[in-house]
Amino acid sequence: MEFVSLPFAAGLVVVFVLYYLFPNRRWQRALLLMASAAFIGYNSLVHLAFAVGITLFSFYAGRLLARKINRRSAPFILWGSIALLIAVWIAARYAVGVFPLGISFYTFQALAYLIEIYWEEEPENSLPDFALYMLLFMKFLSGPIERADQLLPQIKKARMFNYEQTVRGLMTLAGGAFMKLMIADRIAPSLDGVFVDVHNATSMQLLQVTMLYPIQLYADFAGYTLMAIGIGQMFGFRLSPNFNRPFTSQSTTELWRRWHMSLSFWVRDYVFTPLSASLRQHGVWGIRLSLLVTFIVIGVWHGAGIAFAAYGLFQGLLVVFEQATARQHEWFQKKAPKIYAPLMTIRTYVLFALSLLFFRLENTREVFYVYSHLFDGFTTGIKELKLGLTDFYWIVFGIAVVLMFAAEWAESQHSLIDRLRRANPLVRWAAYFVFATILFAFGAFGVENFIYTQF
Amino acid sequence: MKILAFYLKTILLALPFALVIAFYVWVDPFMVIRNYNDYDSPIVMQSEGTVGWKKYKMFRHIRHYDSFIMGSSCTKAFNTADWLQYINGSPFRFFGNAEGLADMCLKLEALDRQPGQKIRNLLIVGEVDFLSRGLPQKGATYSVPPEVSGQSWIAYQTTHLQAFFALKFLKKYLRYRFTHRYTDDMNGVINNHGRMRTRFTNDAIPYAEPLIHKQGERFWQTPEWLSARAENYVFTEQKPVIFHAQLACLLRIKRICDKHHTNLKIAIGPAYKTGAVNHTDIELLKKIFGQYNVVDYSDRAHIAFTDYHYFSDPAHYRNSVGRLILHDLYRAHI
Repeated sequence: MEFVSLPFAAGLVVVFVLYYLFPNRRWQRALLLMASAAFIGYNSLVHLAFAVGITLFSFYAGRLLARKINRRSAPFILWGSIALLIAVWIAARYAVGVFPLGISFYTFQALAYLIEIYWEEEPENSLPDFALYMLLFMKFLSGPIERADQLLPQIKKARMFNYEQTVRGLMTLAGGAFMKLMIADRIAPSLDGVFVDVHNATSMQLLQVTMLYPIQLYADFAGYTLMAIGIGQMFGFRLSPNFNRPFTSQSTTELWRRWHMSLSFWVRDYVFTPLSASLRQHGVWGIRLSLLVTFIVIGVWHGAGIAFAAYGLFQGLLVVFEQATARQHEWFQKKAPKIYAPLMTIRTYVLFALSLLFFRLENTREVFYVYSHLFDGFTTGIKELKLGLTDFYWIVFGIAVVLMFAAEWAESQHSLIDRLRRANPLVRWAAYFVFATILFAFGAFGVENFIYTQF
Repeated sequence: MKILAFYLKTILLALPFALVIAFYVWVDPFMVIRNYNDYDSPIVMQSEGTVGWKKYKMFRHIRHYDSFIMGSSCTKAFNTADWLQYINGSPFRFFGNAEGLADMCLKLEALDRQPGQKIRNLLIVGEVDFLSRGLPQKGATYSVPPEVSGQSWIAYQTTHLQAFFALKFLKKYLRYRFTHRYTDDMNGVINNHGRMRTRFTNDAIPYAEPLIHKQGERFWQTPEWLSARAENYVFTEQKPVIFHAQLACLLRIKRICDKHHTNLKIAIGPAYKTGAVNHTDIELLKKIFGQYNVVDYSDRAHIAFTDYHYFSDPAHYRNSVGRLILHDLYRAHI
């Protein structure tokens, strides 16, 4: 089931009303578990079976690990469990032919949970609480990848209706819907039309879609995350943020601290840190090797094949290069502080856009075809650059993108929701109606899947 | 109490939208919410893809259609009664607004999925734009029912709902609805022709023909025609348009035709000063579908067809051209 669908909207309303009808912990937990099971099993019971299987395995493996923590068998239990979880993930992803939705996200949650127990965190004793931590519907499909110590304590509390928090949740949900419907889904068919057949596209079209794709991906994924966070708030949960204005980054290193943060922090904590610690005797080269491996892990997390590994390697090489040239960057920044920031921001965006071609095309040969034809010539007519989108919708798309970045900038200065909540009721209600009307009239309904639900 | 206030305010926010949706559902301007007995005299110009499919489903059990004319609005030059002189079968003109290859593919595959459906004859009427469209088109103008497109019901309905609330549509629609007076600016939005198609075969009603007979040469002396005729034109070929996506569509069409042993003909229609289809595209079509099943009437050999007298407007050729093409296409097999 997708967020932007009638069954989900109807289900959400029903679950919300029932949730606050009896605000006690057991009822709320049971309801959320049932809602999550319905959400996951709606498309296929196989998906639900996989998720429940991984949940049960992780719960009991965690308890076993905790019991044996100071014994010799502990590493074997940990590594055996990790191997099994990864084997199931790989098998489900590439061998079985049924790809259970959300498996990459909940498998990483399970891995983090087991590693934390090995690092002497307490295991969870309540199976229903743990199941909710793993399966909570609003973050099930595409994260954020939550840590047990963040989410489990929230699950253990009963939640009373909080008007302010619910309204904020609704506003956040609406913000996510704006990004998804006005930007990502509006431009998606046009970009897909070129990516599906890059050999048929002109050089300008290739350049155009390469540079627009990060915006589509960001609006899609960050839009999804905002919707998940908003729904979480409505039910009294605080989910982790996944994005922090990534396109303001002045380096690829910074970009990965702002882009898909729950994944990049996960690999930092559970791949990079242990790996670089074990390679510390090799000095700077040990760190560089750890960085490359970490980014390749990020790449292959998205999919099998050379293209995804190349996507990760591309990022890794950039980060290693930035680390190796840190002094030169400092010098440049001191010498030309005014142009450094915009230049580096543009450079970071362009390199990210180029690397995303591996991610989008999933075929290295096609990627190199695009690279070699990006600057063939600039004699394309305006009609070809419209990519099948009418002038009107290009204007709508352009305004929406500007609004998105402007809102993000404003949000970084002071909370927009706070300002709106403090505004005169007439202004506030007018803003609500205008926003809803814009979404209603110009949103691209119909593209019901999110890009990251395939991972 | 706070929760009741929240519910109340949410309902208040949703109410105007619920009301406008209720109005839309009540008037159903695109005839996509309810089923109708007659789709041929609409108030609003419809998506021909949707209308064609609805009519096909409505009459297939009594007419047992097995022969189809597909393509864009240029198919209006081809009358099923004329076609019946060359084929055996029960024909239906199954076209779409500015239909492209991918749109046609979807429709053909949906036809193939219908239980007991035979496809004995298929006449594809194409031109450059038709061949170049390797992906299905979006929007209410090009919509086809979910059974054909595979999209969800909600996506199909919201596409039409949003088209209804597009200001340039809504203004004209409401003005016509309340005044019942057609003005020139409503062209393309409001149907000013009355009955547009025949009931069972979906043939176009040729409005221009009586006017041409009545006005003679004066018909082509309107400002629009004079401006079109004034353009200098030297015969040219357009760029090739068949690449991977288009080729995939063509192979899907071929697969279905082979499965049904369809008698397939492809006519690339004449173009008024817009250039011929590239010869490499035509060669590819012939390679896939057979040398004698594809004829290009936009090429240099058929330059006589570019005479404006053969056109009812610069984008559409007349029935007389359609009859000539049919005769030429099927003559070897009579």
